[in-house]
Amino acid sequence: MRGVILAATVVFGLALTSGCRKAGPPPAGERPLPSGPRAGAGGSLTVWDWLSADPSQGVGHWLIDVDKAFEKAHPGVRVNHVAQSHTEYYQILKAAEAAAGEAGGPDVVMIHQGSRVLDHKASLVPLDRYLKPELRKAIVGWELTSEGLSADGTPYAVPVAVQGNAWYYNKSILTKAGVDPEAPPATWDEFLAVCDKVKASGVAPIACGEKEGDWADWFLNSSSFLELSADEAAKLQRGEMAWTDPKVAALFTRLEQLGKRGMFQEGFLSTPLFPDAGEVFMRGEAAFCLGLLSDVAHWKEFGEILGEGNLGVMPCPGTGMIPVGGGFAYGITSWSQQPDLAFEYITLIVSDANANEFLKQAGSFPANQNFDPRLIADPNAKIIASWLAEKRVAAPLTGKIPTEVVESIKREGQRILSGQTDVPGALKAIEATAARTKAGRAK
Amino acid sequence: MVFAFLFLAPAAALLLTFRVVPAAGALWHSFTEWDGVAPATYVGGANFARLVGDNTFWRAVLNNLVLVLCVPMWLGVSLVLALLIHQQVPGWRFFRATFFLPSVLSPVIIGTLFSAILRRDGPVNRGLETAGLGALAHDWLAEPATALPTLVMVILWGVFGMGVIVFLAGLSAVPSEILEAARLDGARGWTFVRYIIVPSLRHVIEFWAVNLVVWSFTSLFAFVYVMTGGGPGYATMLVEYQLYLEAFQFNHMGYACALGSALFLMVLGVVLIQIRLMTGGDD
Amino acid sequence: MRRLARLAMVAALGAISASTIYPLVFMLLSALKSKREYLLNRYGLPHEPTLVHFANAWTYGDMGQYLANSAIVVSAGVLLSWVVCGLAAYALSHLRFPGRRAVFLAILGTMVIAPQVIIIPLYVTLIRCHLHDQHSGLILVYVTFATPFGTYLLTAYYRAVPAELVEAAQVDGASHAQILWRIMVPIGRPAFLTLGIFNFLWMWNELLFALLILQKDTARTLMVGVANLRGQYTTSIPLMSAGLFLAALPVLIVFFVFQSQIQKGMTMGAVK
Repeated sequence: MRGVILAATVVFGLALTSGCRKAGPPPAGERPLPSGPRAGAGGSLTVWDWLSADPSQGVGHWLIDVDKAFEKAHPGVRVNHVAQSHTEYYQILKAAEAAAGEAGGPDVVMIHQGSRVLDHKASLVPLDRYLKPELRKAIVGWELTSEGLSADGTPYAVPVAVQGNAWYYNKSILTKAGVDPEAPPATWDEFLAVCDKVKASGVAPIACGEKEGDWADWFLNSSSFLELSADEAAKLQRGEMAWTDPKVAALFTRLEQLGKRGMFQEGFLSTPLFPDAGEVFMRGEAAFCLGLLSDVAHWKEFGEILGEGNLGVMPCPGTGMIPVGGGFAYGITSWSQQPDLAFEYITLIVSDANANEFLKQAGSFPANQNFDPRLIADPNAKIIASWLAEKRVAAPLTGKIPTEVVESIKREGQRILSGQTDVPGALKAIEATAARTKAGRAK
Repeated sequence: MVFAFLFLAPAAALLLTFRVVPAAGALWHSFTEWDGVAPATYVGGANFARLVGDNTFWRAVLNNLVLVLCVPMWLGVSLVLALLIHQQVPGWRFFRATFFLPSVLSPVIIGTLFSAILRRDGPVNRGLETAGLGALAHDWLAEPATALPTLVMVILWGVFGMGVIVFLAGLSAVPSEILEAARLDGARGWTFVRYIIVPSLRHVIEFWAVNLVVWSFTSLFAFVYVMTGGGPGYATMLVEYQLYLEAFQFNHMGYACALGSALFLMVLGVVLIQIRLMTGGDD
Repeated sequence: MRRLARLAMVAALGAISASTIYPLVFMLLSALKSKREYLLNRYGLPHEPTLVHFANAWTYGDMGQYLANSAIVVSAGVLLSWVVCGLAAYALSHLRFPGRRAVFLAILGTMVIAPQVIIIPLYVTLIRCHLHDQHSGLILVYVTFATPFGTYLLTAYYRAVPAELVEAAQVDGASHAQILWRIMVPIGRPAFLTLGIFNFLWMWNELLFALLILQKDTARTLMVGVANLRGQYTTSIPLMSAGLFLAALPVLIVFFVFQSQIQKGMTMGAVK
């Protein structure tokens, strides 16, 4: 008995210590060379995404169809599609990057358009040598997936979906409040007046979900055109204009104003943006809802519950523009052994035929603009499509600034709306974060 | 003596390989600028200099200290309930079974459930309003004044059942003769608890107290992540949560490692003081 | 008066019980509502109960396969943790050797390391050991994370065991193995079972390391399946609730089995 335990202990201890002789993090400056099983070995292509886990949803279903089509066109190749959890996605991606493909990591990764692409560009393949001019031309959103967040920069990912924000409204609530639902407010002051009327009729004017601070972020993006010209927005993004600038202050004051005038439903501070804020709107408990263009909290979902004739859509009053960006994109990992095959996979996803399927199955706008416009039957979707076609769109203000500064904006937005600070105090804090980030990047 | 080391070998091997060595790496990286992937650059004490002037960090430390001050409450509730069950109050089997139910749920689930239940239009506030106490209704997790206390209560709900199990197991080791003799001597109520139970459970109470302290610093991530995200603003920011943001959202792995090192020293300090106070330094 | 106080106390305990039962009832009721009904009637009873979410959670979450994986990982983790922590606790509580307190504090110290900082180096270590993507890798990580807690728990328990008991056995010529098997394990039964419950619970519910280490779909654990039911934007609360309810059932069964065993230990009066 004694001998058995002794032997077991020794064997166990030795097995652990000897098996991991090279254990420990790689010393600084020494990147591990890829060895052992390589990415995508054995005729399979590994794809990571956060949307295919739920095949009941349109997007998940569509992605799985794409895999099947790819396998059919490439006999002998198996698409190993790994559905990751969205919540932990970037933590897991980071670990895979640290392992630099030693563990047979993904060949193709889904990634959000915007600063995220730059955060991870060290492990993404520059795509300029793969991209044919016609593909570049067909797809919109390159400025959110390219170096320097500029359309001229080297692209690191191919945009797949078009995402953005628009204001939806419930026509019957407006009618009851004595507002003509076919003439939505055209200026900010008109908007406030309509909200007051709605409030007087006993309904909350705006469905808001500020639990995570994301609503404030959306609001600033959708209303930024009221105060900032394209040039000024770019300066702010590059750090050449201070966040304490009076124009930015005017923007934040509008947010504060909405809170102070009681324009949101009760309990908005603890309401999650997804799906709860949209649900408040769908239950008919609020007249307006700042929603998305694609996937969820959008014309399709709202129209199905409220009735498409009862639903209206507009840009932020007084702007005539909508912020577009932040949909998903696909990139190829730097450690992939088969970047050509990976690019063929991405090409298939963004092909004209799949753009149509994406529109049909997921009710979402594809980045590839060669989709068939006749597929859009919904009246509100038609309006959005016309804005996209007329280029009445711009990249969201906060889509091109570092994640850290966005986080600071979200938290200060919450602090303003929960009465913990005022606009100057909030902007000072944001500017401090922005300045530190800029100093860090300059190094 | 040889046997002592032999018996400790498996634990030591595992801890060295999967905790100490990675942690040593993190300590080294707290003196670097690093994104977690590319080669790190040595920057000396720059991260710690930033930490000293970081308002978010100090706010998080303050919130963490509030949580540490709640440990006696978390512990006391479990102890009292365990004693009552041990005394076999009417219905004790039912209570023992139901008190465990929260432990079945992971923090993520507890957080999700309570986020829904504590909403402004949720059942808690509805109940208060029905009872004519509408004035007490709050947006519990979203108001700066109530967010942290509410978080404390939800955590209490999540952990008290585990404390009850630990104390019940501890009580089962107290020889029943001691309990009987004390009772025959007329020890009742507080005297019984203070002079009979607490001394017999000393090691178990110390264990659970230390565990709760460590846990309040290093294992509340999921609760915060799901219920408040550290907000509103920074009202429920904890060091552990800030560390996550810096490491995985902002790509400042070097600074996150510095936060981790500071957190380690802080918790170790608190725990050592605590053990000293509770055991008086004896072994 | 005494009677009244007693009644009040039982009522208070009953209220605590109600608070622990309510969320589970909320979860079950939500799982029985259709997506549309949940939207319109969040807190009431379901008018048209449906089992469709249970079926969907089972298929989407691939729960049959994942359940088996979880069972393997968790049972191996619990068993191994008993061995590792039991040996260490015996040494720390009843064997004399220089630096005992230092070793104890060092083990305690490893408990203090925040998991978030060591995720990446730990992952790299696992890859170097060829333990990634395998149940054994996840099991070793779980056992490691359980070791400081488990060693501390068992040590705290064993310290209440009189030293004379062990010394007497040694005088009688018993080997360490005999003392461990014949004295320490039976005496420590409630503590071992408690540790078993704790380990089972957190290993069953653990998500981050399971997501990280097991990338192969066929190897994934139950919680990963449930977590994947969350979407980027929408969490279907009815679907999630159904998944969670299914995932919680095995834990409840294990608890009641273990708890009745603890109870046996208590009535046997382990320490004589």
